[in-house]
This record gives sequence, C-alpha cells and structure tokens, in this order.
Amino acid sequence: MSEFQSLRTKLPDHITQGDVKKILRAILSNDAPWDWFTRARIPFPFAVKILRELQDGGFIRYEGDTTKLTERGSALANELRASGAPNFTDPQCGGSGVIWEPLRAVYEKFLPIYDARPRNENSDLDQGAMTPESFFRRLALMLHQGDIQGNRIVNLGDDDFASIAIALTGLAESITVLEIDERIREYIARVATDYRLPITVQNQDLTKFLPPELIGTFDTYVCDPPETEAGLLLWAEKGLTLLQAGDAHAGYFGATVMEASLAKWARWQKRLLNHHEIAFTHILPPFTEYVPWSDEKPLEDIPALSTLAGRPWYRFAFYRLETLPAFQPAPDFEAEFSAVFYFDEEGYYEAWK
Amino acid sequence: MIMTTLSRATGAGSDDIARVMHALLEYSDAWQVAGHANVPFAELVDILQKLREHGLLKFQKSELMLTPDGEHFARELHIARVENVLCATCAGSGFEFEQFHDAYHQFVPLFAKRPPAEANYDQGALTADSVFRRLALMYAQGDVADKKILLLGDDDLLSIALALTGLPREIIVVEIDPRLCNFIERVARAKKLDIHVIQQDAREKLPADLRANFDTFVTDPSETIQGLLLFVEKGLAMLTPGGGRAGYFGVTLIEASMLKWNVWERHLLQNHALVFTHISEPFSLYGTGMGRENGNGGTAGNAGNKGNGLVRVDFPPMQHAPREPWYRSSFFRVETLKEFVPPADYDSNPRDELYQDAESLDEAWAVLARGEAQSPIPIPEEFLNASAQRAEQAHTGLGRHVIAEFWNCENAQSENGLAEAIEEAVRSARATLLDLNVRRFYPQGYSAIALLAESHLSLHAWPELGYVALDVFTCGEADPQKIVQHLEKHFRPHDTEYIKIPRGRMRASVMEVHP
Repeated sequence: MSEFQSLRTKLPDHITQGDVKKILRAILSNDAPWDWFTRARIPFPFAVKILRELQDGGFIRYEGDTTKLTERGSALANELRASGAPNFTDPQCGGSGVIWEPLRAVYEKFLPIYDARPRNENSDLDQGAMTPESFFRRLALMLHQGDIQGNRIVNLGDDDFASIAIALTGLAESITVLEIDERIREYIARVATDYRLPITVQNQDLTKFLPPELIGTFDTYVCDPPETEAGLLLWAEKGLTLLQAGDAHAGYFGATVMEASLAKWARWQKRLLNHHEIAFTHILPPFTEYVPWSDEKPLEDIPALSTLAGRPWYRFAFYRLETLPAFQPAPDFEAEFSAVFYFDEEGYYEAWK
Repeated sequence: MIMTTLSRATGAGSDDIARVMHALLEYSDAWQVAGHANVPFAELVDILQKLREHGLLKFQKSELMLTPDGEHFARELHIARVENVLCATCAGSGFEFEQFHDAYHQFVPLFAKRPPAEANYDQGALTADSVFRRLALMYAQGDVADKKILLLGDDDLLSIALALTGLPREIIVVEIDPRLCNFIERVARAKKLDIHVIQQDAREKLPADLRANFDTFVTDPSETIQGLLLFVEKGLAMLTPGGGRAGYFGVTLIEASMLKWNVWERHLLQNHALVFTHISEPFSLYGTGMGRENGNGGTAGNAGNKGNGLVRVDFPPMQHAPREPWYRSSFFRVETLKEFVPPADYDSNPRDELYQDAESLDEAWAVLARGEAQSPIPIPEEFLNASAQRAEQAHTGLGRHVIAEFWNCENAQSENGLAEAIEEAVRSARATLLDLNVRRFYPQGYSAIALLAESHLSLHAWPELGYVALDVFTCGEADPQKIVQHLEKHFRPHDTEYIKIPRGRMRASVMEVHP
C-alpha cells in the first residue's frame, strides 16, 4: 500500500488527494503555521483533519518552532509530487497590486473612528472586521476601477465600517448602508452626522425583502457575505437586485478561501453567470485580512497551532463583477434565516468537532 | 445633453465614454489612454474622434488634451483625477520575482535576441518583467515545481524562463512559427535546458500522446469568441483528469468587451469541471519595439505599425509608434475540480473566426476609414441561444426534463451502437458525459443510464414491442431537446410523444440554487 493509500483510509471522502497535496505544499514552503491555510486554500476543517492525520500517521514532526516532514512524510510528498515554493507576495502591496499611500490622509481620519467602533462581534451574524489596511487596499482598487467616483454605493452589511472610509474620500455621491445590527447602525449614523458624511443607514435583515424604492438604484455594491453556499449567493444576488439596469455597474465581495472549497466557488460562479448578465473581471489573491476575533481558539492537539497566531491569518480573496448592457436588476426574494447563517462542513468551527 | 449626443454618435454606452474621459484625465499619450481606458480599441478610437468633433478634445501633435469644455464635461461626469494607485514594484500583479534574480538575468539577453514578432501568427511578446511576474504567480500556486507544463504558443519565451528556474519536471512547447521553434531549441541546447518543442498549428489536433498528460498549461489565445475557447479548451484537453490541475491564459480588455468575457467564462464553467481562482488586474504588458523595427509587428507592435499607416485616415495621436508598453492583459487561472475529465481535442472549425472581430485592433482603422461606429460584436448563434435560454430559465426553473415516448422503432432490436449514439447526442447538446452504463437483459431488452454534469438521461427499450422510454433531464444551458432529437434519429420511431417539464421552478428561497 502506498503512503497515500494508507493515509486515504483515515480521511473522509470529501477530502481529496489534491487537498492533501496542498497541505504538504504549505508545510514544505516553510510558511508560519497559521499561514498554511492561506497557502493551501482549502476549507479550514479539511486542513485541520489532514494535519491531525499527518501527525498521527507519523508523516510530520516538530522541531522547536518548525514543522518537518518525516521520512514517511517525504515519501508521501514524493508520491504526490508536492513541493514547496517561496512566498512571492509583494510585501509592498500585500499581494493586492495596489498601494493606498495616496489615501493616507483619509486613513488617518478613519483610524480613530474605526478604533472607537462597537466591539464584540456577533458570530451568529457572521460578524468580524477586516483590518483597516486591508480595507484601504480594497478602496484603492475600487477607486482605480472608477467605481467610487460620483457613484451611488450600497454596503450590504457593514461590520467593517467601510462606508465611513468610502465617504471620507469625498468622492462618492452617496453611500447607503443596509445593516441588521443596531449598534453598528447607530455608530455609523452618529459618525455620519458628526463628520457630515453622505451616508444613509437603514435597518435591513438581508434575508427579507428589500425596500422597493432602493431596487435598481445603485452603481456599485460592496459586501462580505457569509461563507455558506446560500449565504454568499444571497449577498451577491441582493447586491445585483440593488444595481441599476445596464452596463458597467460593479459588485464587490470578499470570498474566503478558508471556509469554502473550490467546488463551492465553482457553484457560486456558475450560478451568478448563468442567472445574471454579468462577467467576473477580477478574482484577486487573498490579501484581505481579518482582525483576530474574540472567540478565536488555538488547536490544542496540533503543536504548531497550539498557540494563537496573535496577528491576522484569516484571509479573503476579492471579487469584482461587472454588469453587461442587457443587465436587469435581479428579482428580489426572501430566504430562511437559518438557511443562510449556519455552519456547513467547510466552516471554521467544524475543526473542533 | 452632450453625453446623449456623444452616445448616439459613437453607439457607445455612457459608461464607456466616462472610462475614456477618466483615462484622458490621467494620460495625454494616446497609446496609454488606449491601454488604460478598458474599452475595446475600435470603440476607443471612435470615441476619441467624436470627442474632438464636439470640441471636447484637441489633438496637439501626438498628444491628447481636453479643452476647457472637455474639462467641464469631466466635472459634470464627476470624474476627478485620481493618483495612480497601482503598486510600482509589482505593476499591479501582487507578485514580485526577486527570488528569480539569476534566472531573470540569464533570460533578459536571450529574450532580446528572439525573432521579431510575426503578425500572421497573432504574435506580440510580453515584456520580460511581465513574463517573470506570471512565472511568480504560477510558482506560488504550486503549478511549476515538479510539474509537466504545456505551452500552447510561446512567443513570450516563457518556456525558457521556466526552464532557467530548473523547477518543472517537463516543458513542452507547441508553436506554429518555425523561427521561434528553432530559437527555443537552439537556446535549450546551448543552455542545456530540458524543453521539448513541437512545431504545429494549434488550430489542428495535437499529437495524441500529449492528451491528458499535463499538470499545467499556459496559452495566450486570440480574442475572438471561438479563438479563445479553441486555445483554452485545447489546453484543458491536455490536462490529466482529476482535481488540482491548472490552466493559465491572458485576456485583454483592449480587444474584448465584457460581453465576450461573459461568454467565455460561462462557456468554460458550463462545459468543464473547473473553477476560476484568479483573474488579475491587467498587469501583463506587451513590448513595443518590434513593430517599429521591422514594420511587421505582432499584437502590440502591430498597433504601432498600423498607427504608422494612419496617415491615410488622419488620426494624428496614433501616428507615432508607442513610446512605452501600453497593451496589457489580465491573467486568468482556472483549477480543475475532482470530477474533471479532459475534453476531446478538436480541429478548429474553418468557419469560426479565430483572429479578427469587431473588437480587434484592425477594426479600429477600418472604422476610421469608414467614418462610422463599429457594429456590435456578432455573437455566434449557439451562444445567443444559450443567452435566450438563460432568460427563459429565470421564469421556467433550473432545469428541463423531457420525457419521450418512441413507438414502432425501426432500430430498437439491440443495444449495438447505442453507447456511441448517446455520446454523440450528449455532445450535440453541449453537455458533459460523466458516466454511461448500458445493460442488456435476458431474454431481451436493455437499459442505459448516463450521468451528465448537467443531470442525467435514462432509457429503457422493449425491442419486442418496438418501444423505447427515454427521460432526459438537463440543467444549465444544455438542451435536452437536442439529445432527444439525436436519439430519435438512432431509434427511428414512427410514432413519438413528448412531455416537457420545467424542473426546480424558483420559489423565493436561496436554498434551491443548484440541483
């Protein structure tokens, strides 16, 4: 029996040979352990399951802070032709391809507002904020594409307080925030009044119908959907309900590479392309980083991950889609709350089950 | 008001006009405006002409300048000058290649000696830096080290760059141009690089032993609808089955509108088990030099060359050859899923237009000569159908189920030839056959079941009654009716009956998003 075959018997069916290869590649690349997940781009619980089996099967060993393949592990890597690679991410721009230095003045205004934000994210609502630096990279990209200037922008959920940063550029015509969490709504509304920003805040549960007067009225939408299949589609398609008819309107969303398999990505992509007159123009490397969240836990039984990273490690790819001339705002619809906010087998918390 | 007039005069959307205005605020060199406006080139040239005719733009020698009216128009459109935010160290790619320092320095002098680009082969080479940025991106995704890599066309000499890193297991180049083949072979010999070169027109079927044999492919396809699909699907045909293989290809916005991007993306997702993992900012820049040097350039040089020819049609801003690289493309990465099966290789259809359409560079000069706006890009019928079906689907549901009753069949006696007929039928509907099982029963009768990427078909035959019961269920754009028609030809029934059922009609819930 080959090394992979013996490992295969320990893994559930939904974990593929390619997944194992990706984890080996991450280890061989000498990345810091919590960065293995960015390199591997497979669901977090799949990665953890593979690491546990590699550990139990004697494929990896720990030397102080570094993780090495044992002889058996090397045989497995050879069999699967897995090899490491240096990290080529440009440190200047964090892999985003843009620098936000020209937005420094906006950033300095934004930072104290961001620091004073209501904390204690609500994980039932899939909350969690990205780092301000990540958001400014996104903002630079959106400006570069011309999707902010003079545009009517809608944020579907705004636990990142992105609307404030966008408004502080002074370039957008207006920003509408649809947000379910009262604390966030109140905070953004207060900042908007204090700083005279063109932000309107509305209470909205996105699983419910949108206000009809908003449908088909925006140039650009921005959101960070939950990672479930239904979740991402709900956000992305509600965004498409809010955009104006016609071409060159843009939608932006973050998509995790850590709680969604590529098979799930393929289903999202197919669904969006098959049902809406759009094209994907950008799928950018996972440069968006999350601020470590309050109930983040280490993995006690995996020595390399038994202490928290203590820095951002959970990352998102950034999608941009653009509408075609025949685009019509998508029909609005309602969904079961529980069908959207749940944890599927690719979700973070599965790793502890 | 002025926008309406312009829009009517050019046939361009107001958003495209806004994009051109945006680029005009940042650049005065016409080639750079063309490279940054993100509208098809022919449309861009037309918009520039009309802006001038309406007194919004001046051509000052080779420079473009907004007039005070033009500046006013920009303000009306809320277009403000924005500082360039593209990262200078990585040119917007997000990847640096410092770690390939040695390979890069060996590559640059070799690259400078390559044969000049040849327009007949749709050539036009990237800059050396762009080649290495692509290489870094590919390596970082794990698609280079110890991999079997196929290059479909290699006027960028990526094969040499890859080989100089010493990382790939095997590199095979399929290239039509004998000069490039010779050059790559000569360099490979001199530098003891392991590159295998096959001189062949990629429009024709590739040698059978290449099929289903590679981990990674890279191609820079032409940019008509069928041209891109031909090159990319040929690449896919050469990948080994299963998940985790990668395909890379460059696509421009300069010769392809979003309409074409949509058709390509949809077609690839619909017909192959793959996912788009990367679509980069257009960081790949094409060199400018060659077109000027010998007056016979490739894609980018070509434009410079055509620019020189513009004296005839009076378009001063582009009479000078580009001073620096301007033609750029986005880099796509697709990754196969575990269900991936390499498609069949095919010869290109001689009727398909592979190189020129209403959005290509050459069309711009034709537009100027004619003095009228381009006609919109003609979308081939099979893709139009798909789009019409899509609109229908929104109302009728996720899939279509056709139940066919075939009575008094002339050809239901045995299952001979049935598997081939089903395979052909599935292909005709542009569906993907994942598995097929045909079973014969004692003393007579047979059944077949085919698993499709787009659902299934099942068939039960009673030869003693001359009756065949057929069910075809497809979702997406595969047409079940085509499968039924095809099998009808096979069984030759004298009486038929059909029942069509829309499946998965959308209720107001996102849970019903896929079958």
